Amino acid sequence: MTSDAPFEIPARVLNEYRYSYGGVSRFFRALQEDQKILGTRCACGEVRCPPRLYCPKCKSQTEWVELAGTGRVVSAIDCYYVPANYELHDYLDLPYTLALIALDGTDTAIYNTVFTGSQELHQVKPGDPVKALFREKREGRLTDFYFVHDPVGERG
Amino acid sequence: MSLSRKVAVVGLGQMPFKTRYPDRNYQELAFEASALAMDDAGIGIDDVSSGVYAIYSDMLLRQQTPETMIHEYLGLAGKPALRITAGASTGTYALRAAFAEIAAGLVDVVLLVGVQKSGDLINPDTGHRGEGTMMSESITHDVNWQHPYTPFPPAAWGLVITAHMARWGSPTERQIAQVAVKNHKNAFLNPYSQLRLEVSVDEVLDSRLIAWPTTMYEACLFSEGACAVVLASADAAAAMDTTPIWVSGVGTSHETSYPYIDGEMLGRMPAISRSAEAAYTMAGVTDPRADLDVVELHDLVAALEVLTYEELGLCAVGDGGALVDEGATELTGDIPVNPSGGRLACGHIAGPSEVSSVAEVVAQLRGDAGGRQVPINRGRGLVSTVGGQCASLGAAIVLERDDA
Repeated sequence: MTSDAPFEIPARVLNEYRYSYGGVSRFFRALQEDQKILGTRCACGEVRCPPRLYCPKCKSQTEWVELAGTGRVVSAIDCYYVPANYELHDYLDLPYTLALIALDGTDTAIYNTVFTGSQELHQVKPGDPVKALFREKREGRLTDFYFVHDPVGERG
Repeated sequence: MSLSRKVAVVGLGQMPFKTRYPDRNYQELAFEASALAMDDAGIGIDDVSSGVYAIYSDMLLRQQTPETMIHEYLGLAGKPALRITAGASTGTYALRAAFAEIAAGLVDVVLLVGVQKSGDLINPDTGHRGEGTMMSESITHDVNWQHPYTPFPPAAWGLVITAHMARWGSPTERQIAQVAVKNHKNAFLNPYSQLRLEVSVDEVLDSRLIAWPTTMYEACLFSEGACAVVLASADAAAAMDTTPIWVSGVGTSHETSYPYIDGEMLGRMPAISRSAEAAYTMAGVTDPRADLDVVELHDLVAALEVLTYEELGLCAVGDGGALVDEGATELTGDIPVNPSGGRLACGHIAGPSEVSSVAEVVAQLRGDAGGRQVPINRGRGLVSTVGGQCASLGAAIVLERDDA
């Protein structure tokens, strides 16, 4: 007797992408090749990182500016889960601290991580000064750089 | 702005949320929910003038334009149809579209169906279904500027929650856990719930940490499901043997995909407040806590429920934790929130979730909510949902009885 039990088959949707960063390509090239973090400045004076080719406010085309790579933490969260085979496991151990970081000289904030070397909760707090470090192996992705605490003394 | 035609919800068809429906494909789920909704309204498929489909993700279904197959399966081929996707506000955005079709006079009766399978996608290395869902959902985040470091939604949203906690010192971890206890308790009373599990505050706090302050019992479920509602013009509703519940306010807000970093909006979720303000204005709601009997909202993580109390104006900004302490949002409180058990315990998958929130508030206003029925004094209820990158897609629906 043929059963009505659910009959399952495996299936794949094979999507491989190769896409361009478009008008903000320079950010990722500077990151990979020069270990530099760039922002964009528009005619109305706003400096953004993440950069934008066009300013959402004044609609002008922006120009590139080099940033110091220092900033402050706006908000931070200690994360205990990343899906098993994500690339992120190549870069960090769990738990890790995701943070929204306002880079000095900008009016915006960027998603990144702050590495403390600690497994304890709440090692990264709003207002903490941080500085960017660059990984040796860089691929032109956001994960090419990360942040560590920046002792205030070093910044004069 | 004035619209010439009133719109009522006249039929509900809810399938229980489940981890999986291995014995039903998505067309069959949509068919069964639709049949229940049409039975409830006392109509047949020939009475339906248009189909609106709340289907969040093609990736989870491995099917593009899935609404085409559903529309034909339901017997609506040739009639107008529309598919809406808007993260975890899919169902409420779809309700706004269905409302607009009727209010504008295009059609008289709309069948709104939220349906989503989610457990079919697997992590190719581990075979894990929950991870498959999560990996698909994670590219809701900006793939260049967020996703590389934030492959998990509760983490990205959590940055707003931790900013809120740092700014106002509220809610506390204990207050957040109390919300999880409340919603799990409510889900016990709901026949459509996926998870019936009694938990204490200490058990919630001791459960596995996902992304501080959110623990395992404070994060929403992965579900499959379907929920349908029938909407009708006042004239069409009058011809049906049903108690119409009126859609008196609809509002959506498509906000920024990044959190606000300073000033008044730091630690806030403006998509929720702006969508609610639009719906309140349309419905004439001026004091939400006094004017509403019941609220269903998106507790995608428990702390988000507390922040939503504030954005909806149920209390002042920063006072959400105090509202929890008062017990105001319990089933027995003066403004019960998530009597269904919410996304934490009733179940969650974008699309069906938001339509089922509408169905829950309609059932409450009809007095049909069984063991989880709350007192209806003012005749009005609210659905609020939020989804998308960093809580950027907000929607709110005010529903009311004839005597409101």
